[in-house]
Amino acid sequence: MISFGWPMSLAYIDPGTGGMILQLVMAALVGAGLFFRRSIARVFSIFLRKKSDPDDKSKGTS
Amino acid sequence: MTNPRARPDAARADGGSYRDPDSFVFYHGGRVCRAVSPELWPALEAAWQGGVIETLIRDGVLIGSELVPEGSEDHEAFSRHFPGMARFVLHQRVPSVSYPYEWSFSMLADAALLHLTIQEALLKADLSLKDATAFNVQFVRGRPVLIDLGSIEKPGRRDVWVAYSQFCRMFLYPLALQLFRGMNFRQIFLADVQGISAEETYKLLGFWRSFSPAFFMDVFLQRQFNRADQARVRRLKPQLTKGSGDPAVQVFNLRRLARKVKKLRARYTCAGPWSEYEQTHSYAGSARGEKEEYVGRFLKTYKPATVLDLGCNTGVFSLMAAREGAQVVAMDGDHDCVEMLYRKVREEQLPILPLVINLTNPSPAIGFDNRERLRFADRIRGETVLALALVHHLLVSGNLSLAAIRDLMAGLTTKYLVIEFVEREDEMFQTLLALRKDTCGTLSLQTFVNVFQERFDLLDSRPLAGTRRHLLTMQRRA
Repeated sequence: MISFGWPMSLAYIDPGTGGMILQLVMAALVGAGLFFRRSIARVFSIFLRKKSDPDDKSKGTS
Repeated sequence: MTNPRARPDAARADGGSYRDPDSFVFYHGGRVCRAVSPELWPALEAAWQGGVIETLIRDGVLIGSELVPEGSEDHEAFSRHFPGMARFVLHQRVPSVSYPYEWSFSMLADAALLHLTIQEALLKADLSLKDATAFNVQFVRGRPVLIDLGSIEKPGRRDVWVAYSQFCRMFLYPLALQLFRGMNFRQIFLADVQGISAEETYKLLGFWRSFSPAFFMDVFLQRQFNRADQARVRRLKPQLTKGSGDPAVQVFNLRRLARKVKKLRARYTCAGPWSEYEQTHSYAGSARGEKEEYVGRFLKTYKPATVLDLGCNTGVFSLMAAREGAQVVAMDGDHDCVEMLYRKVREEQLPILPLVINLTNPSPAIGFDNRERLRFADRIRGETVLALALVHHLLVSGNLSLAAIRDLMAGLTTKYLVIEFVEREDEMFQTLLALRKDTCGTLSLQTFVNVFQERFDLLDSRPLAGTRRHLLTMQRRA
């Protein structure tokens, strides 16, 4: 039996596995970060007057 | 890549295009075509209708592709050859096919950035690349182009890129290993067309480099997670199909990778022995001018459509040929020369393909059945071969006989050969011989011409004033 120097259980695992788990972990962390940033922005937008939309600005200059 | 013996109506599947059952390349009447399965077609149809494919082609990052209209003569002919396939695509032909084990550092880095750019553009259209392999990239006028339209799919989750791991194995790890461990990535790709694993990269980079902030996630953590047990891996599958995820998370990851690759690319500096040759070599000034004039006159008279510049160094003669309108493949065994030429070609978008090739050990055929990636001689030929200041290297360092050099040249050119003969009394020839046994004792211009005339007709011969060198123009006999 050839084991390629790996524990046998690892020979069945796709080399992309680590990358998938890593991305899921990252998705949770970055996703949480983005969520908080958006929520904070939303909370602020209640108290602060909303600045003019960038779209409106572009209409104004054109 | 065409097979001249194939009948014009015959379709021949490409040996390197077997991995994906949903899409493969075939040749028909000298054209490069792609078959698309009914499973893949909805994703591609969406990409075509959304305009993203058109945009990518216009930006020069995706190979020119034209959909064969349903009901057309071509569609009917292709369907007869490949029943069960939904649609067919005609691809633009790439001037010369090359592989990552022939590229320089910046070429691999640019191929990596190409994948990240395309993936981000596709993500906006709710599509994704399922592969990230350097073998899906070819170079046209100094720019990388993705040739695998079949890599485009509808993603499962938007926050995860399924090809991320492959991207690391094919691009990030080889670049890091060449930069930090001086490991030529040629040996990585020749040994394994799938690149290098996180485990091997970790061992080669060492604990501290892998643990450093730059590689902590992509090397250290990925390797740790790769050691997950089987039960956890089986639980991963439902995770990946559950929910759609936030594409902003993937964009964050793609941009992080792009910054990393750009940093690696910027840090690579050329220091090879040949990259300074232009400044240090031993020519009398006038002889150099004479040689350029000779080659210039040849190019203007014979107007070759394709030129191979062997031992191109920093590419003086390749640039001349490109300016005369030829498609050029410039080759040198020295990586840093090729890197420097590539940077120039990229900047000026010249029709030159610079490649790292050692003529005494050119790239073999590799991959499944040894037919997946073609050997060098089956891919690259030219109407004219330029072999300037090269013969003495092949004779002495390469240990080749004159007859072997002649046959090598006859195999590479379809018509002309412009070759520089260097007498053994030449200063550089003597330097090469310094620590070697002199096996070139009987070498003279006459013996050289005699050997070459067995397969070539001599069109012109001229000594370079003030040197022990001669320039010869020959034509290969059919």
